[in-house]
Amino acid sequence: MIRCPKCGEINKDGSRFCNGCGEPLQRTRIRCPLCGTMNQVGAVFCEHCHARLVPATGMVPPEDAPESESPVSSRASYRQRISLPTRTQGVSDTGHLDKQRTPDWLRDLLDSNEQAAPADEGLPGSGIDNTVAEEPASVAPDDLTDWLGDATPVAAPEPVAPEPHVEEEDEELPDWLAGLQPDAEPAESQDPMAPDLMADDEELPDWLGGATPVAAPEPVAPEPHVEEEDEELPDWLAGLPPVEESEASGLGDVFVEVEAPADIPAGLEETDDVPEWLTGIAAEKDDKSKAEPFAVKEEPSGQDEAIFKPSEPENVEPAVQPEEVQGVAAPLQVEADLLERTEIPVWLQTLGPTPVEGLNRELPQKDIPLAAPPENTENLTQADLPSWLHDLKPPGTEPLVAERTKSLEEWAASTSDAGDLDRAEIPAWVQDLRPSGDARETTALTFREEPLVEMEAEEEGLLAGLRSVLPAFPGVDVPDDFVVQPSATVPARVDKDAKLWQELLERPHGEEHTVIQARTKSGWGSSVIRVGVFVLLSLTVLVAILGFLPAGFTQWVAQTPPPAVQQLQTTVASLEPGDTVILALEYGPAEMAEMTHLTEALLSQLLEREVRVVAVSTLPTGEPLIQAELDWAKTQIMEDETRELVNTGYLPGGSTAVAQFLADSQSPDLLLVLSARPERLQWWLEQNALLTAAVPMGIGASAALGPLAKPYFDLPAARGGMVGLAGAVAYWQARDLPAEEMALRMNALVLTQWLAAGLLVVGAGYYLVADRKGRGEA
Amino acid sequence: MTLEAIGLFVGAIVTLIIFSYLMGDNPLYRWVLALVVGSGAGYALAITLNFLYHWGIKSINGELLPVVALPPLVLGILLLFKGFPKLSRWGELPMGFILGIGAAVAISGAVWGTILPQLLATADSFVATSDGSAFLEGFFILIGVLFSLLTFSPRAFGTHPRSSLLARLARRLGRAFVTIALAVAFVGALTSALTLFIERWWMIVDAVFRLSTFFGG
Repeated sequence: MIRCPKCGEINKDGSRFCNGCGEPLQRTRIRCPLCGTMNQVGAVFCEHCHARLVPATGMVPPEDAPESESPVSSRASYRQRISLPTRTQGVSDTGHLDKQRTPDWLRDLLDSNEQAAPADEGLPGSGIDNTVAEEPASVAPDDLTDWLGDATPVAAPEPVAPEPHVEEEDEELPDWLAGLQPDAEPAESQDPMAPDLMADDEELPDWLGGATPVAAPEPVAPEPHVEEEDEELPDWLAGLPPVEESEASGLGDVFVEVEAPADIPAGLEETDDVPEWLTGIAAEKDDKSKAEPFAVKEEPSGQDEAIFKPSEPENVEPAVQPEEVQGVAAPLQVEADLLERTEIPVWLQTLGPTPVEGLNRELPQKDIPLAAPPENTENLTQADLPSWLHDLKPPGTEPLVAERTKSLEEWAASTSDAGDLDRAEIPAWVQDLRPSGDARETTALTFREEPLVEMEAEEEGLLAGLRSVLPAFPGVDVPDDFVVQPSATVPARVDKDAKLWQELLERPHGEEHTVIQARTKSGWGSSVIRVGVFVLLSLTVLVAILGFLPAGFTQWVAQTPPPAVQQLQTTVASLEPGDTVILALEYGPAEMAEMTHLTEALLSQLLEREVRVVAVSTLPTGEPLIQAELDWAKTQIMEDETRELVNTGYLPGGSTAVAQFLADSQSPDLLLVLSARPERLQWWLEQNALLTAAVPMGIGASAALGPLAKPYFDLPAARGGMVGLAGAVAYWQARDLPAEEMALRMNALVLTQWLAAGLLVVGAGYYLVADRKGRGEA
Repeated sequence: MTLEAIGLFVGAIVTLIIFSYLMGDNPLYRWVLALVVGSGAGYALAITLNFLYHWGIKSINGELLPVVALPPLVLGILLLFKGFPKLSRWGELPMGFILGIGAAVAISGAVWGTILPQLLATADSFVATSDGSAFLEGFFILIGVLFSLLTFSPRAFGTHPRSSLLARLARRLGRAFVTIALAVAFVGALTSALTLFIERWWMIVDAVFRLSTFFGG
């Protein structure tokens, strides 16, 4: 739904004008080129038919357009790629038209034509001068014929109040038409509303109004003395010459074989220059029933038949042609409908059937003397009118009577004035509406006619397999002077990312892109640093484990074990022979080198306490590790001793299996969890806490897991724990047992830790300085 | 030379090849890396198959009751359908069973085994009977938790980064706690790595000693 910004009326999607106030609505949707559904701006696919609204392939960036392209075209090509709401334009400074009240399509035409050619220069290529007439003649609206009154717009919303005795200007009607107007107003009673409707010229262009009398529902009474504006009748319509002029200027050597009337009027018999349209007038003098000026031999077809419908009796003898015309027309036989077609504007011809080549205005002109006007003006009838106006007359209209016609001199004068009539009287916006070929070239529709770019075939959607068809245009009419003004500056990084996204979106589907990832080759400097650190650490370790350190070096190691280690050692020491201890080994081969010290420290005391050890692991690789540890334990057992060491092995199922295992255990006396994986340590701790009678448990964790494991030492069921190699060394110390090898490892660990800390500090300082140097700050 | 000694030598050589990565990437390092990863994965698969084999043998021999053996068997077979897109819907039942049971067990365990005990332990630090060190520890824990949460909750003090001085101080304090926690975790990981490093050198030295003994050194 679209809400009218002026009156707030809710209109349907796709509405171009408000139902309440007629305000042009801003369209903020994209029309699907396939089904016409209005989609949201930014949509890629149609929500109704899934047609692609944005071409997936072959998008031509604006910079690819030729440089010689006009600004309108370049802007049009850019306009194809954006969808923006229409910005309301300001009031034009021309004063002819309020653009805000103008429909979008009309505004687009106006803007484009204003850019292409100034309004004062007339229609481009049309050769019409649009300068203002200097001496406008005054024509009363009452002079209009009744059928011309019907030709005025009938859709005027508000009738203009009659203003009596207001003199109208001459430019309201061309002189050559004014000459045909009657003096009296007998027909006004039949069409009283016609002048009133003509007053509102903005509702419908006059050139369109001229086509409306056919569809006029009923004649209305004219309201005399209504001030008419300049735009009521466009002068370019007035510029259409009468039949003879049209023939002389545009018909060239094309003629029609017509039948001459049987009775030639007396006043026209000696006149060789009488045009054929005047012959009908003469025929009417004798017999109005035989007033048909032309007897067309062949019936026009199609639209011509509708437009050029004869309004006079058909059984009228054709008028006599002038000798000049007969002499030239004798060798040629042309269809009568073509003749009539040349009498109407070219743009109206385009509405009819396709004309035969060579029978239009491009044909070479031939000098044909203009027919002399009839001498007896009293005999002038409606047949004086050009046939194209004659055909536009609504059915049932009363023919003109001789009293209404003007004198021959006035007619000649008006004809000459018509030739000098300044076309500048035509408002620029009306000129823009004239659908001449030149105008089309300069309108905003140019971008729709630009040559299709050879696109790659669409690969998805309903248009799959098609190429260069149905280009998606935004349904929003963007004014030509619209300039995208970013509200805020975009950082370079965002712009770079946006361009990358655009490039990726426009990349054709299925195109393989080989990503060549260059192997990062480290320089010698970094290799030297790495190798130097490695050598330094290795030497430190070797010095420590080979016993090259002084004997008192380990004196600074804490002699008193931590409380958690002492508590764990006390708990294990309190076990009675035959007690059951569950030993969960939750580490893999990678952590075995560290964790095995904790396991051996505990196993040695468990064997000493003669308890039953049940080892289990939730890791698939835990079973051989358990076996390796139990094999080591067996080496610690004397041959005459028996210990029950059970390898339960792999326990699949994660935390669920742990819960089930603890539930199935028959009240074990102690649970020892040695883990290097945090989640598996939590499984045992948490599931043990869920038991109604939590099993006392000890914790052994790797150094990496220490920060996470230490808080669990305070659990109600926890009986202490140890962390890392230091914890194992402390456990041995708590048992008051010598551990020379463990002491060597501990020395190496302490030294390497200090060395690592020193290297980290040096490295941090180096890169800090290097970074500042790189920024030029140091 | 015993099998253990051979394994020790091979392990020492493999360790040195791993150390060669310090000089840069090389084919030997990649070969050893593939050997370690592949052998570990293959061994885990062999253990799993061995477990299933023994479980099947027990079922066939009647050591497991059909009521106990059939549900896992059916669910396991249905779970295999997850490998086929057209039949994967049949595997949703065992997947739902596994995830549902696992989530129930994990959530209950986390609440009763981790969250509540940790809260109670922290609260115990503020009771009147606790000593000064316990109170200080509990205070730091409380402050650290609160400000760490505020660091990741910018709307607590407004959306604007310069909303107030209190907000800036709170965020900086929270970042300090987070940094300390990460540093402690890094120290633990570094300690474990150094321990393994020492063990590798210990193994190499041991291999050298044994080799020298083997050759009569």
